[in-house]
Amino acid sequence: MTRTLKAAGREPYHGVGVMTQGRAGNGAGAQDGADLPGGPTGQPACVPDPAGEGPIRRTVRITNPRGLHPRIIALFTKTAMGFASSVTLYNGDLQADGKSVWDLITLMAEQGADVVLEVAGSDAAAAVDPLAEILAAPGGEDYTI
Amino acid sequence: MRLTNFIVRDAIVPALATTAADVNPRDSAAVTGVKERVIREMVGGLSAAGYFRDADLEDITRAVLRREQLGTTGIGKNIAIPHSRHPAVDRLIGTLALSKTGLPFESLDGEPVYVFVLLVSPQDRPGDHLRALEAVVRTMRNDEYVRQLRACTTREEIWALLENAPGW
Repeated sequence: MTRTLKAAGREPYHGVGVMTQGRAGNGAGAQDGADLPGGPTGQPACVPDPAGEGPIRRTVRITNPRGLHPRIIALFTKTAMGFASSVTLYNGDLQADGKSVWDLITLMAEQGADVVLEVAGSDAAAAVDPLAEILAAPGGEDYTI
Repeated sequence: MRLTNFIVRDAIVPALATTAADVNPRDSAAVTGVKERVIREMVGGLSAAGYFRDADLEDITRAVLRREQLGTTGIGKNIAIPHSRHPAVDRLIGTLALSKTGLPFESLDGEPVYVFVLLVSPQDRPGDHLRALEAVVRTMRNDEYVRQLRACTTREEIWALLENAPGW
């Protein structure tokens, strides 16, 4: 269930929830997207792997005051299951299957946590944006219940 | 965090009075009625144990129900974790209830729920809330443990099992 996360430990970027992204090389470990070229929105662009292999990783800051709570988890897993790619989330040295509510609850990602989203598979490029947006969303929900 | 850190022993319900033999699991209104009865029993247990004033009983029950309406807390594998924040409590508290017959709860896997863990936490302690949820999931993902829990018939048996939960 847990393992050391090699991709973590980077300095967080303040200001936006979605911080870095990029494709990892084949077995070469996580790529920190901080040095990747910026896209039109000012966020780092996704750099496609020419071979179409290797996971896309993105670091996302949890901004919801409740943290990664069950309602967000339910939306995240439902969205993740719409893609064929495997989805994995890391919070420090904790790792969770992004398509499992049970796994994601064990991440205990509180507000301010920088989680790493890793998507691997044929539709990874299409999956990473909507999944990252769910994680980064501040909520806009009723925080009193 | 351990389950015994927040589950109130005297509020445990070994056998819910709520049944649903005549309820169609696809009848949303009827299932909502089942949820309300379960939550009312469990919140009533916490109230009877003296963890908040009787005056707050209805409001807490309504808060848990409102949360349930935003999305089911039936997370599958026959487990549900109804929960809410409420200013009536100054620390995270919870209770556990068993259904001997299984109850429809709009669970993610469509299966009936036999084990309920209800949480009520203060407004300003989201970290405790997440840690309690994690403790429930970490414990209940052990199928053999859940089987033993479901076989319990008394508060004492349940508490003894909670004190010896796996994973620590």
